[in-house]
Amino acid sequence: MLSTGFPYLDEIIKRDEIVEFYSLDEDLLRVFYHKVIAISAPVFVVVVSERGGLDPYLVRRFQNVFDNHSEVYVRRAFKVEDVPETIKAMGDNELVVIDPYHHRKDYDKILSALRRGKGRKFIFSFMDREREGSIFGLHTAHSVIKLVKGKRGFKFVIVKSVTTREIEIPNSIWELYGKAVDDGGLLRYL
Amino acid sequence: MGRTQPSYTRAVNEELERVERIISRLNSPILSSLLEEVKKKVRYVQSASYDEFVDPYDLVFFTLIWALAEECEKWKNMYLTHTQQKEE
Amino acid sequence: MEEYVLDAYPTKGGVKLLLSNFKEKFVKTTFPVYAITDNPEVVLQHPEVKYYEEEKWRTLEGKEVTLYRFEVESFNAYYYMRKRLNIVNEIPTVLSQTLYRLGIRPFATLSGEEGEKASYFPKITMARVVPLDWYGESLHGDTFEVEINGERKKFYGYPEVEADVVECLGKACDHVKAQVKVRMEKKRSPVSIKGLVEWSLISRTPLHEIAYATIGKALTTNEAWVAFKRKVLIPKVVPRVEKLRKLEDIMNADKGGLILFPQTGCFDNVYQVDFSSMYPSLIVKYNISAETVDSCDDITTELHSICLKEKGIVPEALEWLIKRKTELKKIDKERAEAIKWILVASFGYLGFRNSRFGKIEAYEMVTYFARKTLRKTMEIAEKMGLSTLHGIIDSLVVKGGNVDRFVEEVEKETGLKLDYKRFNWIIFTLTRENTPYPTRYIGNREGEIIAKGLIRENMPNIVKSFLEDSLNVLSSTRNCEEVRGSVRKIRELLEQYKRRSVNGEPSDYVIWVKGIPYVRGIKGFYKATLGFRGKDVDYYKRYLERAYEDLTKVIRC
Repeated sequence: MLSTGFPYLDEIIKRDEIVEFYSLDEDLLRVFYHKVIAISAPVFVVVVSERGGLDPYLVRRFQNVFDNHSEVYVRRAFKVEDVPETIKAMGDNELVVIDPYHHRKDYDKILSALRRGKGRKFIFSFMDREREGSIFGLHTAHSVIKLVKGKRGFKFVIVKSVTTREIEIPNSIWELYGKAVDDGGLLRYL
Repeated sequence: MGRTQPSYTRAVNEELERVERIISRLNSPILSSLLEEVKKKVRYVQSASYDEFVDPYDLVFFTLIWALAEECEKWKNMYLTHTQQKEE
Repeated sequence: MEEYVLDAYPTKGGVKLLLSNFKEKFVKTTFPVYAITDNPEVVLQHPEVKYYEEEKWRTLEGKEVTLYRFEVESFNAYYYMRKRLNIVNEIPTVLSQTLYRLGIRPFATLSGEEGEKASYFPKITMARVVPLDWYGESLHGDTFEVEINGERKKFYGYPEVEADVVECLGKACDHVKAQVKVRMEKKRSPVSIKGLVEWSLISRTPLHEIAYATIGKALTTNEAWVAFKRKVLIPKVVPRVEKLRKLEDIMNADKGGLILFPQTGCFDNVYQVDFSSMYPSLIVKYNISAETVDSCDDITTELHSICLKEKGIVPEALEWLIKRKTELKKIDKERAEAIKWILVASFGYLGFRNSRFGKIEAYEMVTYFARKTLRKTMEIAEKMGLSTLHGIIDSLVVKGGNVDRFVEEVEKETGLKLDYKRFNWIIFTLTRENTPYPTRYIGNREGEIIAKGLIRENMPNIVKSFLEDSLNVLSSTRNCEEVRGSVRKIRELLEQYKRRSVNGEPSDYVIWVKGIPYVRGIKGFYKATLGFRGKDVDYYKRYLERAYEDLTKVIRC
């Protein structure tokens, strides 16, 4: 089951078919999706890039922290023509897709592949939505969340949501690594 | 060379650098000298664990234990020699 | 005497052949353009499309596809169609396919003297002409260095060079009379003009289509001919979907060759044992190709399976090239080197995202077998009483025991060919942090010094000379003790060079960085192309001292 590891966030996005996370801070986004993969296992992942994208040791470490040792299934797509076919090959499974717009082209083919499968999808994008494309692909059932690094932590900025208006949710960096404290949940931020 | 996972040697180097940064803030000469030993030995541990699935983080600390074990052995031998000499 | 075909160009209605001795010939022909389309009739509307024929081809996976082969009068029609249709089979190039069916082979004679054999090579004049400036090769110098059919000459003024095929740099191209000129600034491959002729010959591709190509294009063309002859269609792009795998399974496969960090220090009397063209040989031995991996279970491994029912396209292409390189090594080193480059690229290309005949699973199979092979070789070494000092991908350094019998046993067990060389001594060098470094060593191979990573391209010429002379000193040493003893001689060399740095030749001070020559002057670095404007002697003295320190640190092992 796809989960961000932050219950209040999961609650907000629970009805969204496609959730896109992006950040200008590459390291922050990278750590975040490794955690998402680890806690969402068993999970299917599509990694788009020629090199890198997934650090199996980091996934393993998160799996140890959260005590979830279920399988992570992966398919890699190296060139832009591989992306839509690889996404389609995953069928109706829930998917984590890492950097689908990596090649900065053929967006419509990729989007149509993303919308075709019936499963929910979490997309992690190294694209600055504000500069490179604020409106494409924003289907009605598609929300966009920005991760912003701050001095003492980071926050989720819900840029576009199916259910909520634009809000910001701050977190401490420790919560990313699993050392969260139950502090009243969502109500704190509304 | 791996296509997706980071170069093993580079991953190990990153762990080593992180430990080095921490040690540099502790001002402990024994830790610094141990770290030098670790740097020399870690490549051999890498070679030995090539076919295993070992987290670079674990590899560095395993090497540290090896360096410590050798240090202990060295002192043990010195002590034994010393006590032997005393008995003579 | 019959002329050789040096190059070919498409014109309206046919092909213009450039022949040796500055002759030309026109051959009337149409050009084949293959397309996948539902409506071939519409294409006939273009005035230069003469007719078409339906052909049955198959995809790499074996699915039948209907192709239409359009015969066109000129390349204008070809380019026109390219923009509007799904054109396939563009490698081998349309022009080389045209020549092939006319029975014309680049660098063979017109009557088609056999060009297949390694012993064959066209009897043409080839030259290399570069302008020289005070700092070395340049685009604009006033002196010229000419190498013609192996002989080198300097011209203090415009050279009078006439040859069939020439590679020239910058201004030199204006002062050379040649039927075919290759501009060196545009070259994207490391082969000489003779190497390019060899590439043109083996890939049956006109020289101008391959002169500025990458090694990848030469490789893919060779593979494509195998596919073409089997009527396997060659598309522009092959979208791939990787096999679904667990993350840990990908990690097990996602490795390179085996690397064993070497023991540090100096070792006497060792042997370096190398597998000849290991990766290409593994590709051939295990029939590794995109269409053979995971298509049936004749060979099963922990990673993937391989099908042996049909010879793979890549193995077939490489087998011929491996044989050719082996034969060429005895005849012509330059040509053998040109083939070597293609072989070296063949493995990487298997995993390259744009490769037509490779896929990541195939790439993984090669590294898998490479690691297994090297491990097995090390086990055999241990069993036979040899100790392994270093191992890296396709090469081992061993000591002790009977090396001849060891090599024989390994060849028997692995089915691959080996080569070995004796070293009087070898020193594995350390990194700055004093950790072992697998690809850096200095060794004395029966009088010849091999020093990996010691003399770097971007060192000043004077430092390079110093290091070369120092290595010369080492070439007469027979063991580690003598090596250590030679530090004094090298110290003397250092003093000599330091004196020279005060008043050396201007070219001594040149440093090449990314193809651009610089000199360190009193006010900093300046481009040598602006003319010699003095040097910062202290900088060069310090560089020499650092080089001396680095070298002697290694020697003192």
